[in-house]
Amino acid sequence: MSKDETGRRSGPYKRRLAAALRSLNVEVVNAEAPGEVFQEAAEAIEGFTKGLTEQPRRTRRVGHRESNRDPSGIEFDYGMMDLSPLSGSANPLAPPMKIKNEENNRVVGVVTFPASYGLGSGAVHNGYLAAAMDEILGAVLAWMGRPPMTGILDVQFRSPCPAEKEVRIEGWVKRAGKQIVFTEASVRVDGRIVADGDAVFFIVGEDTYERLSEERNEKIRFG
Amino acid sequence: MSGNRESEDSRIHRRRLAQALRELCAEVVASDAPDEMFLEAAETAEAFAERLRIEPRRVRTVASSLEEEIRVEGERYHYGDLLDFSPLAGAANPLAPPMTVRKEDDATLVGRVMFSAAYEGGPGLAHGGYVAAAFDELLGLTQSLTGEAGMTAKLRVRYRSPCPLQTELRMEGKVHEIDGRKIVAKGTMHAGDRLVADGEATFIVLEHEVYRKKVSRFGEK
Repeated sequence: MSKDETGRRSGPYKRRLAAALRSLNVEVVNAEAPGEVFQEAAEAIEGFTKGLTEQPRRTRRVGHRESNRDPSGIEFDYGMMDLSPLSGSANPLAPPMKIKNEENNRVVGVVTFPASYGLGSGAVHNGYLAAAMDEILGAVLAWMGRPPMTGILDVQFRSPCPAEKEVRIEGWVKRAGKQIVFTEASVRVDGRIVADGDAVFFIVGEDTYERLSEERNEKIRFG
Repeated sequence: MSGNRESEDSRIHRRRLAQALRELCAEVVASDAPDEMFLEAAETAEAFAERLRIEPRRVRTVASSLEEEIRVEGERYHYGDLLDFSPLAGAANPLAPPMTVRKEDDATLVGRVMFSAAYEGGPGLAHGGYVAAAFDELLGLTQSLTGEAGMTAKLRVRYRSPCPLQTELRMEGKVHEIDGRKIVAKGTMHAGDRLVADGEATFIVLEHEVYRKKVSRFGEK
């Protein structure tokens, strides 16, 4: 069993590497450097990638509930979620967004997007705001122990969302059936709504989730 | 132009570094390596980030006219340097998968994108949020086929079937409606013959001067 398969957090060195790559990802976009500096960095990075591709593949915790939450029930960055491309501190693509569970099945995400998540206007790319909303609303369901798949995502963008500023995303359940759950979310900066939306999720059930996880792990083991 | 165009040498090696980082980001997520490998890579990445931090900041370039900003050369579609640095389609942005786009006809863009292991959401599947982000990008570029620069006001994505990782996805965006300053674009995403998702977005057109000022402000910071 790999260390990630136990459901614990990724190790501190993987997290440190993710943080370092996050910084470097920002600098590649923002710095105006001579070609040879980019070249030297590229050669070093390519070497590390080659080394890692020869290592075993990470398998994924099969259970859903235990793979998402830490025992305290507060932090979300745990088990497989620490590898999420939005909230995972072990995933260099994630800003990362910090997610916490509040009362009454309300989930709050706090995130500061660097300028590299935008299009050069100083605003965050709206696609990333939509992605962050999907993550938060999925987290609401995950916290309730109901593995979800997004069915429909609707987002209204009210005003540009500034990069380099703290963004607060809040998600909650509006109406829940056995198989379908209706959710809503708001995105605020300094208390002002910059976007809001809603999503319909289909509950896939823990059995289906476990089957998908097992299939995914088998594929990785045997190619 | 506001700002200076980067040299060809810098452009080529920046793109190479972005691609190298893209691949390493995927490996960090996908591999289960000994701690010392992660540590050594982290120390090197930290040193290069520090090295780049002392360099001048890049200035975003914007053409003086929209016709020059949005143009097609052969199959290549340009939108200023947006397509180089976009976090979805930018070959020079390591966050981007990256999506590639080409113009099919005056109202249609075709995009291709493949999500690596770093974009995993549900087990073995691409994160639904990134599927939505890909639609925002493709439909945003599609609406610019009208010759206007617009901002997304509304986005709707319907997920029709699971979106696989490591699989080339074909996207198509079409201008559906133009009503004054409002443009509606619709699109689809397929994995092979299977419909993965469809999307619709409404954009509000900005005057080019307003757009240019917004973007130039970033360069001045």
